[in-house]
Amino acid sequence: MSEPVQSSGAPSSTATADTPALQIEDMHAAYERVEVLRGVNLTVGAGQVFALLGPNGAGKSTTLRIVSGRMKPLRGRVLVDGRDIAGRSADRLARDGVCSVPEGRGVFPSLTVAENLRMWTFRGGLRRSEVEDAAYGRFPRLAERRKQLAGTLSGGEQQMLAMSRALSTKPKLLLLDEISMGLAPLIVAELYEVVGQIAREGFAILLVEQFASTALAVAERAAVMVQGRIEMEGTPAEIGAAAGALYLGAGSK
Amino acid sequence: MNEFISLTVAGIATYGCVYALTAMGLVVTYTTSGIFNFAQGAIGMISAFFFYELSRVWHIPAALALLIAVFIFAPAIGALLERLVMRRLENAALEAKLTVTIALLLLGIALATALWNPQTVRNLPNFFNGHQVSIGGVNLTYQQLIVVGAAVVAAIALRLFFIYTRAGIATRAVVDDRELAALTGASPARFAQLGWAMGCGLAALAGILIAPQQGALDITNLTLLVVNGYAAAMVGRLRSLPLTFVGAIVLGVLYSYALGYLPSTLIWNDFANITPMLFLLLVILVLPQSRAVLNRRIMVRAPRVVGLRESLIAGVVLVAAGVVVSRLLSGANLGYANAGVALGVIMLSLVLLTGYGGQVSLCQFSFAGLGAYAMYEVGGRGGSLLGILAAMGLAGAVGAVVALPSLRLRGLYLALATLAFAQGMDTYFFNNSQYFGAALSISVARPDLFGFRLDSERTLLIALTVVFAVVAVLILALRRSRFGRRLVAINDSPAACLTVGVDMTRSKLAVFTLSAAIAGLGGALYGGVQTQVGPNDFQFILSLTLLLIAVVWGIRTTAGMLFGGIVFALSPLLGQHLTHPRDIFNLMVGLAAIGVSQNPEGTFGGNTLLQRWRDSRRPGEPDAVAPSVGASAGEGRLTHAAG
Repeated sequence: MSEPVQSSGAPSSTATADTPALQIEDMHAAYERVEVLRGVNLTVGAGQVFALLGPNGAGKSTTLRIVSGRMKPLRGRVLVDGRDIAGRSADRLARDGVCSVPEGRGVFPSLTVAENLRMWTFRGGLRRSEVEDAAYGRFPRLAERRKQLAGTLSGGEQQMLAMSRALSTKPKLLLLDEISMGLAPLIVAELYEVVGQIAREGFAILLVEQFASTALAVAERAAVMVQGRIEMEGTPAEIGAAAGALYLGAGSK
Repeated sequence: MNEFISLTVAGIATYGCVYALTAMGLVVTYTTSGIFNFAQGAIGMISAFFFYELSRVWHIPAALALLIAVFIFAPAIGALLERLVMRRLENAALEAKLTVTIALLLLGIALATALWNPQTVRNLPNFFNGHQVSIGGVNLTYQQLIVVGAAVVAAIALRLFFIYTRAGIATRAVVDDRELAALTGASPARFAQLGWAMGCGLAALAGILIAPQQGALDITNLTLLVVNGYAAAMVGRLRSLPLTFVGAIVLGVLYSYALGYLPSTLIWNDFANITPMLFLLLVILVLPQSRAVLNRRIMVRAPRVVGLRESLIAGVVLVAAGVVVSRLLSGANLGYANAGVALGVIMLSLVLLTGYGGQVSLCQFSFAGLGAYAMYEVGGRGGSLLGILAAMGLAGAVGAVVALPSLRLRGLYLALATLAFAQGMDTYFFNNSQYFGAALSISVARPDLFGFRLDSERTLLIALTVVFAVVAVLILALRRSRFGRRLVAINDSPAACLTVGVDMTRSKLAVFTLSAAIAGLGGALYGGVQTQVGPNDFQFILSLTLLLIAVVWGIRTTAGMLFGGIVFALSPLLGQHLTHPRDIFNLMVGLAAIGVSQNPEGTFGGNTLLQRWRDSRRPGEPDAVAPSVGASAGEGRLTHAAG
């Protein structure tokens, strides 16, 4: 196993500027006998925001599960910052700088807001005060709710808490899984404003969404996944134009 | 008044604080790993012996020996257990989880018996040689002060750990959401391991502190003493440490009053001894149920349901085999075969209740004992057929009464309630000379079915295989029926059952009653095979072994129960060759059950060699238990399959 990647400082500090943040090569994966990924190739450049779109069951979340170390692929390679991550556990990858905001539930409901933030300090070398200051600076509402159990927060506030981790822990690669799911459009807009900010700060982000337009607005590159394959890749404009035709019924908002 | 104060002090210092230590350990392991550690007492017992070894044999100063046992020895055992066994059980069914820790309990007893000959008397002196101080007119030994001090310090330390340290917060985070904890960089397995180490350390502390107050070290006593801690842990709903502490103190004081105030006649004395069990029952029944942590097993492959023709053929083959075997065997071997098939019938009651219905009972031998008792009372005078009916009726009726609370209990709570019932039955019924005579032994008549006299062991074996085959075929038929589908559905999702209008109350009551009746039938037959039975034949600990063997052989299979019964019956056979037969047997069963952690479906369950080979050609996940456990998958895995 290679040495752990430095986690503090600017993103992608150990790799040269042109090393992609994430490279997926010919990835196959299956749940029991059901094959869900059939040869996925995907590259997220350093500091790039990549939107991965597609209908339900296309394999988007499975791709994220593999990249975050929660599932093993059948075949294929995953390189983060140029290093093969094969065999690394989810917690190890998290400490190495791959930060996930999983679908729907990014917080610990029976821990307080402050305790949730303290969990983020498992990404080596981070101080409690650093993480808290960064989070409360971005979302003052969380500071008011410091001692409150995260489970009692509203959906939007919970997502803010989950996102604040991404902001305060300076990840190498940020994986966002359908952060808009089940939230009011206004809150989605607010969250995506934050995503845009993170993007401007130069973090590499792989973003999975069903709703095309919100994601495409912040992305620099996009792809559409259908039935376990990348069906099309291009600029957000190109994808936006073609998306409707690629997956009927799950079109843009 | 003085007596009241000294009883209260004894309740707190001698019992309450020790229960508190062990119960807090239980809560810590349960919350971090989702496994209720039945072996908590065994670990405390072994640690007490280890402490004895260090301080009395190696002459290490007591304080140092205590530190070694509590902070190194026991935590190492806990960490090792988590690593080797518990980690594989994360997604296993409740009965597999229970079985593995019950196995550890028996294994611990067996190991201790092998290492420390029970014939040798070992005394642990009180700390500071029993010196006393007088506080406000009440005499307290230093020993008692140490116990109280240790419990209070442990409680405060745990509280501070869980609230203020990052490791403590991470441990709670793992309880909340394992996967998310991993995504934040905290290794869930490591914190579950920490939980086990802490739980075992607390068990050791409890075991060592209570040992000197029990006279000579006794393996069984020390192991079961800690069982009383279960009740305290229940007060805390297996989550809250402060409530657990309070519950332990209350229980300790109640127990002390019961010992002090109840008249010391035989019956009342027994009553005092079952106070903790009554307390456990009461707590389970009265306190509101905590949010049930559903441990859903998601099967990828539908379980195979044996068809009518297949089960009939198997039944006929079994009877034919019975005829052949009855000619081949002779003497004592024939007796073992008979006992084995009769025990197999008792085990069949678990297929219905636990295998299909998913309700874990730890009192099947109490029902069997009731069956044997009814057979003795009725069968002796009114003819054997009537006796059999009485056996099934009595066991079934008591089963229904036990089931009434079960209507709102689920999983572990039900298992513990049945355990409390079984222990109560032991003390109150089976060891009662009013029912079992002065010699505590009754002679049970052999049934003579349809005019066949079953005095000969040979004909008895044939008759028993017929009964086994009939019951097995009926159970399989029941599984295919509407009732069987309903049972499986209730086990799968009570919420969904409500929406389609299934009467869960009636179904649960029915399955419990039926299962108890089958156990009663098996008990009556078993009594007939043995001709003389007594309390030792129906000890509550045997019910634990029964479940264990059933799970090992595949609790969802009827064939497994036949083999399980025979294995069970063969245990006395070892007695002729070995000095500690029961313990060697426990050792083997314990090891086999730990194998359950590798294969939760049991020997005859879904995981045949062929199946395993097929599974090995399929992909697994990094956190998957093992490729062979492909049949049980975590909930999250499938919900994430979409997208």
